[in-house]
Amino acid sequence: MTHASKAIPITGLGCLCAAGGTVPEVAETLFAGQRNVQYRPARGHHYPVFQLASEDVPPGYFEGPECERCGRLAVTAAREALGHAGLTDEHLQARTVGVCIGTTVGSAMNNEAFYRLFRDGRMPGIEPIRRYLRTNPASMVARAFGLTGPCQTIVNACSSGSVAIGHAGAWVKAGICDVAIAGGADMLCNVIHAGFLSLLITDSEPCRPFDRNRQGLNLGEGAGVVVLESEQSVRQRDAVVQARLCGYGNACDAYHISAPEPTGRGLKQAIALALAEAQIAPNEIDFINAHGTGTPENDRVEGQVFPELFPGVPFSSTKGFTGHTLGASGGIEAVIAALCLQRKQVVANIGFEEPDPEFPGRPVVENTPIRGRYGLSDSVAFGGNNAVLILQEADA
Amino acid sequence: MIGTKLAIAGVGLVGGFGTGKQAMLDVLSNGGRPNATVDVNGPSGPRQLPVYQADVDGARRFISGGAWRRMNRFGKLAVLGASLALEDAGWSAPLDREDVGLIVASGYGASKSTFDFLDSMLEDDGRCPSPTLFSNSVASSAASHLSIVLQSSGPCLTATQFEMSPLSALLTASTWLREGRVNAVLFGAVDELCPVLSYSYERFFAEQACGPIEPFRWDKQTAVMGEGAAFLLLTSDEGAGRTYGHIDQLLWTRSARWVAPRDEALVIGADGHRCYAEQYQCLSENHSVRTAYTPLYGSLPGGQAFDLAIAALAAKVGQGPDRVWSAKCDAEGNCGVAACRFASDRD
Repeated sequence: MTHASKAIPITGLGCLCAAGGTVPEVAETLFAGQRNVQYRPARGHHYPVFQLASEDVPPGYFEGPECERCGRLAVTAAREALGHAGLTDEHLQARTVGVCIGTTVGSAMNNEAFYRLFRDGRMPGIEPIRRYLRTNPASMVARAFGLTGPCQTIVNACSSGSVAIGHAGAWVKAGICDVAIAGGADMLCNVIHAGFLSLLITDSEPCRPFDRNRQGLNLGEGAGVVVLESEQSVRQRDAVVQARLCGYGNACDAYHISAPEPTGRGLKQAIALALAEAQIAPNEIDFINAHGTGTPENDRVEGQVFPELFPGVPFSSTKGFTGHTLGASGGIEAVIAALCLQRKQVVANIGFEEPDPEFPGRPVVENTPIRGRYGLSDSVAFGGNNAVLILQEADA
Repeated sequence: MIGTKLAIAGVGLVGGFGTGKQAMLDVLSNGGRPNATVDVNGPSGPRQLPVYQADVDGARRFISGGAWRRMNRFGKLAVLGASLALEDAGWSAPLDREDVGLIVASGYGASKSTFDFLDSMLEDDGRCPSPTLFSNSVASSAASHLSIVLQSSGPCLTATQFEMSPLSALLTASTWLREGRVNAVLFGAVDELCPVLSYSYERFFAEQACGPIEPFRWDKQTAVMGEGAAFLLLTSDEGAGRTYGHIDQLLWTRSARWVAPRDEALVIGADGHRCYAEQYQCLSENHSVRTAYTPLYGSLPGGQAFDLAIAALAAKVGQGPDRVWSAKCDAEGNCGVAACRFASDRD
């Protein structure tokens, strides 16, 4: 099976997470090796979480309804990305602009306060439901910027952000839109925290991706958004290209509702599809931004697959800086991958100390120089949904 | 407007009308109505609301015993609808293929499992939330179950955009086929009833939540909750034997901007919600050949997938036109349009 390849220009980046409130701040934190861990009480313990610093929280974030938070994060990252791209209101109104945002929490009708009253028979007011119906993250972004192009909120669990960017790229390639705002956004919430605790895959220490003693993930919050733009639109306004999306692959394990298939069958397939679209060989990949959640199963799969398919290629997980931001992670990590291409350096995998004898993969433990032509970012989600993006340096 | 060529090779339907094509053809001939009631307790006291409720028992023949116990109802709806569409196309499951894409569009996602997980979280002071319920509460759970049951390892997407979910998903299906990522897409909409949704209807609409659905009654709230799954097996291969015809244009636009071709049939997604009445009225007034299938399956966000499946089926048996424009509006003023050219058994 073949598909035509044409790299899509990325003209803007936007990001906020525990590592910083803007892309430059995130870059500074990552390359300085700092991590900003906070703790959240749950079930009698305090668990590490990666939440936004108070100065980075979007206006109205805590004052407004909780169900709007994912949308507010997406809007904030989109605003930075549009500004970075130099896309003005005038540009946006003259183009068909699509919005494709991945999330998990942002689509869930799981208002805990409302539901407590409901299950107690106390007939809660309906305003939380009314608000929920207005807080679809992609719609909130479209509304914030007056966009009338196609919108899609993708809920593929933890691969949502990567899938959103991949699909938005296809929309631009197909001419469905001239510009696409794509990425992921997710917030911290008690319900999700309880869910991951129930699965026994939450580390009580700051997470240690790929380390022998890793115990699981730490949750995080944030958003990562890229602006994808057609070549024609780029030429028309003489825009600066930050990087290019040249490959995307998505494949299922078809194995288990939450655990990854142990041999990485679906991940390998997604990688093969992305490489085929990019029309490059595995040895042309210069670095990998791993999903690297710090859960035993996830890291075991990636720790086997990367050395097998990409021997000697440096890889690292940035979850030690951001936490696992679920549906946002693919968006945030695509932004980080673009930064790595620009700086020609891959970020150290913070939290890794002792190699795991169960798999051969060893992440980089220091910021590592790279040739910087192609970077791969992968996401591995519940239900065995694997998504892979390949980014290319801007002037390749 | 995006020109496309999505051949409809099979349809699978489950909802308050029953399970399968014949059940739909029966209500198409005889009229549809709610088939069940749910108890709700609002400020004006207890009440029973009519609903279109699906029976997922038919999914047992597609799902093994162990998987049946672990799978949520949302997933069972998806597996049933999707398996019927495959069966209709003459395909056998499991697929064991990587060139078939799966797309599930849903307005509310796995709402029942979400609240079941919240129950497990709130009981016993939060000490024992259920990991199985958590895994099933994820919106992508239906698509995940579907990929496992069908052993389909191709691309897989769950999209949620309320009423625009099916149209946005169809845009993705068309790009997958156009790019050659897959040779077929199993596309469907799935939505399920849950007590919170019933309560919300009661609070929003009170006695007006009882229907019956009058899609062309612009001045009155008449929506009745529905649930179910509507799947289409889409291919780009025009030589793939007998099909229901094609979806040949997709359009995401503003409802105020779009004018349907007057001499061609228009299927509107009006489902009795008064808040959309003005949009549908503008779209369809002065339109001589207009219809709405919502009284057959109820009010649910993924309704446009039902409309497309029903229109394909109706044309096939000579109960509907061969050229159809399907339009669905949302609360943001968007309008999703799919233009179809169907085939008839008479052809």
